Amino acid sequence: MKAFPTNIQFRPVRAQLTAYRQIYNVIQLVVYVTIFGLIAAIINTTVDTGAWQFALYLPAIVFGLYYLVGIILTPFQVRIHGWSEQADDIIVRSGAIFRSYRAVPYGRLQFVVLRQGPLQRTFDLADLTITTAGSTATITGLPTAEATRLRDDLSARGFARLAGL
Amino acid sequence: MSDTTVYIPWQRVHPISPFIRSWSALLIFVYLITSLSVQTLQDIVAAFSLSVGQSLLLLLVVIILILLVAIGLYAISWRFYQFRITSDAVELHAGVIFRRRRYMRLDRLQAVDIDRPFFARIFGLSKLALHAADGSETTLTLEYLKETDAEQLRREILHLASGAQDDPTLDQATDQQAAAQHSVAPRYPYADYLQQYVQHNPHGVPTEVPTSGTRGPASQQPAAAPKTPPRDLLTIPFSRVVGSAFVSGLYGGLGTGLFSAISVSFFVWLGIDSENSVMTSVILLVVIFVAVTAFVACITAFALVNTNFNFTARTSDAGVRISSGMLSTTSNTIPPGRIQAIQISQSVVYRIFGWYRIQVTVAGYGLQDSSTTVLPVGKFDDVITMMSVLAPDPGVEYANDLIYGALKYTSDADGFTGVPGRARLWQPVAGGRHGYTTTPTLLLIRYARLRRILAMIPHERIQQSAVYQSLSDKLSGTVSARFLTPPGPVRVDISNHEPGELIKLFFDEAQIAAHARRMTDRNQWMADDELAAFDKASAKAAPAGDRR
Repeated sequence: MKAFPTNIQFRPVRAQLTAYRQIYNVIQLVVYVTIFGLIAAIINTTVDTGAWQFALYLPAIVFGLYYLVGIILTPFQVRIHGWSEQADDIIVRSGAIFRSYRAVPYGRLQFVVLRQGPLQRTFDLADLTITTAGSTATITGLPTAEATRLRDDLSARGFARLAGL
Repeated sequence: MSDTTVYIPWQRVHPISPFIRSWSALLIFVYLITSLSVQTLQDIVAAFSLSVGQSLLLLLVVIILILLVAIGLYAISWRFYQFRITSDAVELHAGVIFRRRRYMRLDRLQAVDIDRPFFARIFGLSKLALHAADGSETTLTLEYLKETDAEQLRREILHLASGAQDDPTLDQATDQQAAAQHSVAPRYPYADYLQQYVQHNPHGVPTEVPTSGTRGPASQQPAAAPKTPPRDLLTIPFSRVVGSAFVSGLYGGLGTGLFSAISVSFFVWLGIDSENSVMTSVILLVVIFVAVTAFVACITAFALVNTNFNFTARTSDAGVRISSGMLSTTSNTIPPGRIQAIQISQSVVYRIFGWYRIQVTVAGYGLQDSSTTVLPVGKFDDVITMMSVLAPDPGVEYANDLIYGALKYTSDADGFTGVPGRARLWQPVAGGRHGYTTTPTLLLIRYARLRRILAMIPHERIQQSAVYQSLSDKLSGTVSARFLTPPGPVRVDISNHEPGELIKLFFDEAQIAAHARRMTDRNQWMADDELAAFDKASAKAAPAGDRR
């Protein structure tokens, strides 16, 4: 999206998000490929499938390719993902190929949720979900301190510009 | 209940309501019990060789026992279903084993419905449904109340929710009198535009619309000042209700009939073996087509007539009130400022007759609720009449012409954008018509060529705006946008537009919305101090907002 103004400074999320995501991607890649590959292999050894024996490996290949593309794209996605606090709204940028910008006005905030799993904690990452009456926007992979700061700031601004609906 | 701890007593619903809530379950229960007990009775009669009189007596005892148990259960259920209305919330406690406690803040109130299902209507009872944007469970229903009680409660709740401080229970006035006594003019930011809707309507609109001259001074006076009484906006004539129901039913029926005939003919075609059976299968197909069409058309038409019968829209300081229904009736009240988005649409058949339909997004209603339709079938006059209440401030003087032109014509100079030529591939039919335009207060988005759809979103109601690129955008170098409102029937997407335009809209929208929100954000639509408090809080938080 070249037309988007470049003078808006987006603050990037933590670079360790790449490592965290890649762990998940690799685990999923291995698990799905193994499961579907094993199923195909077992069927092929027990039944004579003839010409279909390669087609049975198709699910494993599709899942493998899907997560491979994911592994390739993840660094770019993390580099793009970021947020920018404007005077009246917060803009969240995401997507390596299919770019999207979401603006959530402070006055519309209903609640801000901070989530952190055990693996995320070891990487010092946190997810911040901003919910309004009709939508959600999520910033993934914030440093914990920054996420806490942002949650409190957003809540304060939301309360100040309180609108309900 | 903030400064004084006055005990507000709990109230109960009408004693017969547990029976109405569960009458269908009761019928099944009674049927099961009687069929079982008849069986056992026969066995007992045979075993003890009782006389006719004795067995009748036994039957009577069984029936009385069942009735006593049922009444006892109902009494318990009734006793444990209680509610009360405090100055800032409605509370409902229900359930014997599984206790259910609902607490709904009145400043989150979005709409109040009084429903009278057919069975409850026989007993003269109503269901009061309060819709709120407060957490995940959005509706609080009180079932069932006497009709007068329900109306009294609605008046009381709307009054408390509006932020006015008088106690409406002090006098037992009628609806009109009460509304006239406890009210101030709703302060729409640009009330003068209401005039312009009327002045610029080439088709003429009833002239009871209050002029800005009489409104202005009235709103300056204290809260006790009398206000324009509730007025009727429109009533849809019975002939038009029936006509639209018939036409819509036929339209839907033809589709279903065609689909079923085609799918059946496919299987018949598979099974055809001789010349002789061709004729019979064709006759069979025609019969199926006609029967299905007629059946679906009748059902749909009756349902539509039943829903839209005697459709009346009124307005008062409590908002818009829409009532309709033949066997079951509903009466919905949407307070001012609760309408998140408006959509005027014309189906293909409606276009032949010049009819329009208006749907609104209200936070408590959700997607499928039939209450979202605030005008099921109306002429353009009716559309403008409704619009003058739903969006009292269109922001431009030529709003009528804008809406009329947007629905009727497609010209290059009507202010609407279009899908650029390189992206027409993705929108072959709607292409030139799909676009948006803005007024100082509204974002208007136009869709579809065969049917006509015009969505209108007040800038300050936008919950989140997003610009993004889908696959089709990527291929044609365009951009799409979405302006999210609470879930509702109104469409909010703009697809495949020129990137520069849409990104400009994205930022403009943020600017306009931030400004408009400061003007209009209020939970209690009449409390004077709300705006002042809001301004003060905004000023205090400004440094926090600008901090980087």
